[in-house]
This record gives sequence, C-alpha cells and structure tokens, in this order.
Amino acid sequence: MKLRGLSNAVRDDLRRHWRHMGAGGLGIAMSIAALTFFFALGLGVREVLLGQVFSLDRIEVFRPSKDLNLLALKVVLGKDTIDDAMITKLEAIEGVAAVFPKMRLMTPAMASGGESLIGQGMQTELVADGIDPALVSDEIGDAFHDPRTDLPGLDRPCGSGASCPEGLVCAGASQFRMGTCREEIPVIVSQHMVELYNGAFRRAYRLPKVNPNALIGLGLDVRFGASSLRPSGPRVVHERVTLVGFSETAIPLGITMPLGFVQRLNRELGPKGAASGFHSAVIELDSDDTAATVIGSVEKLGLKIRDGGARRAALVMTALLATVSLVGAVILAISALHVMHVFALLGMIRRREIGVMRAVGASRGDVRILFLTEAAVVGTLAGFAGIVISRSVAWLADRGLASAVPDFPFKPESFFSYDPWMIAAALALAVISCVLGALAPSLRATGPDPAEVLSSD
Amino acid sequence: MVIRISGLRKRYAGADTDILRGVDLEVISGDFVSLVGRSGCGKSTLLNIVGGLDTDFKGKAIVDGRDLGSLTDRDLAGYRRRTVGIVFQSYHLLDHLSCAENVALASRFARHGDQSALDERTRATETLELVGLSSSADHQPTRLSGGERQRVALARALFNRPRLLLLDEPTGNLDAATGSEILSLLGDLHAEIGLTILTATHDTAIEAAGGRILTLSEGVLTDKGEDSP
Repeated sequence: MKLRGLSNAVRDDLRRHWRHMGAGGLGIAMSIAALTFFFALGLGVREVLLGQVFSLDRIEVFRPSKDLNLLALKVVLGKDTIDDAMITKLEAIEGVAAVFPKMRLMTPAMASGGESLIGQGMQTELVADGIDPALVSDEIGDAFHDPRTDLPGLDRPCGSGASCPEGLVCAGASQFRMGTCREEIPVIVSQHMVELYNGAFRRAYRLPKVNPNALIGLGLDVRFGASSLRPSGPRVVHERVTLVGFSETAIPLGITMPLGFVQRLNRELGPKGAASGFHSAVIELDSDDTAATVIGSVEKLGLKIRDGGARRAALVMTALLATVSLVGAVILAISALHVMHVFALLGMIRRREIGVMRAVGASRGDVRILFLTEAAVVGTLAGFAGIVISRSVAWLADRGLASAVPDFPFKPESFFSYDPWMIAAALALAVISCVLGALAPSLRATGPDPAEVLSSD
Repeated sequence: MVIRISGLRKRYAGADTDILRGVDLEVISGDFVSLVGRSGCGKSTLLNIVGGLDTDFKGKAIVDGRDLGSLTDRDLAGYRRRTVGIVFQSYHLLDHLSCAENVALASRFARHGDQSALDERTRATETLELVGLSSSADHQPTRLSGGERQRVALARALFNRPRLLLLDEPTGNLDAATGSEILSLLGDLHAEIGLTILTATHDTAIEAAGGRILTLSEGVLTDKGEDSP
C-alpha cells in the first residue's frame, strides 16, 4: 500500500467517522492531560524540593565524633575533622564530580552595625563558617572570593588621619586606638535569615521590614575573638564583612565566609590545630542517580551523611511520582479500552466496506495498517490536545497560586515542570494506547474472507 | 488457459452437505462463460472461489497459472487487484465515495509496480466512459439508478484492466430493459477488449449475450453447449 493511498483513505475515514474517533480520542486526551498535569506538578515540586530545599545532587559529609562526654568530663577519642588526605579519597570515588571542604569558625565573634538599614545600631553574637567559593560561584559570582594576598597596604595601621589604600577598609579603629587596613570579607547568608528577621524578629523588636535585595552591600563591623557571653580572649581581630549574596548553601543561622578567611581567623584566634582540619565537606555528584553508590562509598570511609532530609524527600517524591504514574497508567489503560470499543464498533460498521476493499485488492495487512494508522493519527491529535489542556490548566493554576498564595520560602515561579522528554513520552503514550486499543479490532475485522462478509451483507 | 478447476468441493460451516461436489471447469482466454442454475445451487460460491474471495475449499483452482489454494493473503490480494475484476449482485459500492473514487478504489491499495501510467482520476473517468457513465464521475452512487450503479460496479471491476471478469447475477436486480442493456454492454466489452468473462446468473436472457453456458446443479457442472456471440 502506497503512502498516498493510505493518506487518502485515512483522511476520508477520519472525516467520515470523526464523531466516533473523536469520542475515542477524547478519553485519551483527558487521560494524557491528567497524567501530564500531575506528573509535571510532581516534577516541579520535586525540582524545588530536591534542587533547592533538599539538594540531592550535593551531599554533605562529616566525621562523627567518638568523644565520650561524661557530665563535665570529656574524653577525646580521636579527631572529628576531615583532613586533606580524606578529601583526596572522596574525590576519587566514582560518581563524585567535586569535593568542597567546609570549616566552622572556631572563635567567638561579635557583629555590630546596621544603622543605615534599620535606623539603629545592633550588636549580636555571630556564628560563622567557611566554604570553598567555587561552591557558590554559579550563584554569587566573583564577589565571594578567598583572601587576596597581593593588595598593597594590607595590615598597615590606620585611623587618626591615616587612611587605607583603595580596596581596603580600616577595621577596628576608634577614637582611642588605631585600626588595621583589612580587605573586606565577603559573606553570604541564607534566605532563612531574612525571613526570620522579617517574620518574628522584627515584630518582637518593632523594627522595619527589609527587602532582601536592599541588603546586598550591607557592611558590619565584626570583632573576632570577642564575646558578650564570656571574657574575650587575649587577642581580638577587627574586620569588616560585606554581604554579597544569598544562598541556601550558607549556614542557616549566621554568616558564611570564603574558606580562606575562616582558615586564617582560626589560625590566628582559634585553638591549636583549628585550621588544619575541615569540619565537613560538600560532595557534588555527577547525577542524582549516583547518590546511593556514592553514599555507600562515603560511609565505608567512616564518614556520615548530613542530608537534611534530602533522602527522605527524594523517597517521598519518588513514591508520589510512582503513584501518579500508576494512576495515570490505569486511566490510560481504561481509555485504551474505550478506544478498543470504538474501533470494534467501527469495525462492525465498516464490515461491508472492509469486505469491498479486500475484494478490490486490499490485503489483510493493508486494512490493519489503515486501522492502526487511523488510531495513530487519533492518538497523536489526542496527545496534542491532552498536552494543550494540561498546560493550560497548569498555567491557570500557576496564575491562581501566584495571586492567592502568599510568598513562602522557595516559592517557585511555576509549580509545574514540562520537560521536552515528558511531552514526547506523553505523545508516544497516546499513540501507543490508541494503536494497542485498535489492534484487536483490526485483527477481528480482517479475519473472515471477503466472500463471507459480502455474502452476509 | 485462464481457469482450470478440478475436483472443487466446498461445504459451508454448519451445512450437512457440500454445495460444490467436485466441480471441474476449464476456461480459455477470451471465453464468455455463463453459469446458470437455480438460486442457492453454488454459482456465487464458485465465482467467489475463482475470484479469490473464498479460500476455504478443497480441490484445485488454478487461475492464470496461480494455484489459489496455496497463495498467501498478500499474493491473493495482488491477484484480486491485478488479474481479476469482480461485479457483485448487490454492487457493493461505497456510498461515501463518488463514482470515480469507487472505480479507483483499488488504486489506494496499489503497490509499486502496479499499473499507474495515468493518474487514478483520469483512469477512473476513462473507465466510466467505457461503461457510458463519464458524466457521473463526481456523483454519489446513491443518486444513481440501479442500472447506473451496475455500470459503476462494472467500471470498478475493469479499472485495473483485469484478464478475467467475474459477474454475479449482473441483471439480478435490474428490470428487463436495463438488464438487456447490461448484457449488451458485456457482449460489447467481450468483443472489443477480448476479456475472459465468467458470469453466474439465473437469467435465461444471458443466452442472448452468447458464449458457453454451463449449468450448475447438485454441486456439479454440466455443459449446455456453446452459442456464438
């Protein structure tokens, strides 16, 4: 059967039986619409959960402490830090794209400032950690960088008329003493901090609400080594930190500095050996799929995973998507049965026509190809219609949620993720469902000899 | 030899006896053979077997060198498309197609290598002209009289220029005058194109069309003799 003959026959039949075929296609269209809508919703939520809230393409590992805490007595039984050798071992694990060490600031710190933002100065204890700037370079860019050693005038005394060269600030100067020319420390914070401030904190202290974008560039004076909770140490270092961005990689409550600054401060102010080991490391995976094997290898090295619920979230989302897929598959199977019914009906209606076609030279295969091609066309059209319906409803849902639901952390622009592969798969599924639905009727319609069909007509 | 049938037997499912009980038939190229007999004697059954529409039989049925009992479905479809043209008693025209589309229906199932020198529309019109209906090419069959429908059915059978034309009761649904016209047309086609024609009828007027007349009775054929056209 030539393509032209087939296309003419299909065109005529679709035109003639559009009501029946439309009825069959409608079920498929609605099934595809429901399946893609819920699947896209699942994928969209999964992307937010696993991409932003519980990132699974990055896992944080740490060495569990073996120390014994007997009331006031602490028995140290080994290091709880990760050294460079361990970092190298982690990098060698298959499926690991990169390893980024993290270090906690091991000295107290007090921050002051904020007059320009909220109208009055604040002073607070400060918790900080340090990360490899490469870990957030995609989000923050070059502004978050390790200390520069080539800046002229670094560590020069300043204050009382002596200013610092460009690029440095005079940290720690007061009317009673000279300061030191220091590079401003770029820091990042978590969005949670702003939400916490704008939520309960500002209400409790009757402070103004702040816009996160307005906070970029905010500078604070920090006295490392100083604390309001205990007597300050023998040495206090004055620095100035500047907020350069927000990232969920940052410590949830506190500031995150480039690793080099934390290493330097720990070396200068922390206990002995504070700068020689890392407190954790972030492992970037080649893909989500390798998480299980990488986690297994990491645990063999005596390290533990700090996943923040990522694995549980992944499990929940996988179960949710599997459920959605199962329900969708059931709906689609029911629709395919409906298509089968429609084509069986058409087979009966067209019994004489099929007999005539075979009498003038159509083989059983020709008639089956005709049936299945018509089913494939119906499936394609129904698939497209289903996707259009699904995307339209998703668009309306996004619009509704954008206006009806107040902003919340990680609120995405769209709750739906329509990947091209999903659309292609939905179309293929629609076509396959229709073709499978039409298969048995096409076999049945072409079973008897033409003589049997035409003589009984 | 166009048709060579020997020992052909056929029994319908559920029947107690064979409807064809060892039919032997030989038809040479250019013959005009009429099968006569009472209704239900098996004339249409024999035509269906020769036309490749019925494959459930015993015995040998060789047409144009092909053993119909051993052909695959695909080969049998090719045989029906290229070698044989069939006209049914109740025409079996498709009402949703125009006359020209009905005539050219076989072209939808054509393979590469099938006759396609002219486009199907031109060929359909030419074939309708052959039966005197070129002006009705775009009409739906439902608008035509019984005789005109029979002509369209005849044109559809002739569309692919078959070697063998099979007609089942070609005048069965027509009045005497129209039936006579159709028989006259068949006689002309036989004379002009040299078609081999095998027709089944209980119309005694077929004798006027000429050719061999065979009687099918009790499931076997008997030769009544040959008339000249």
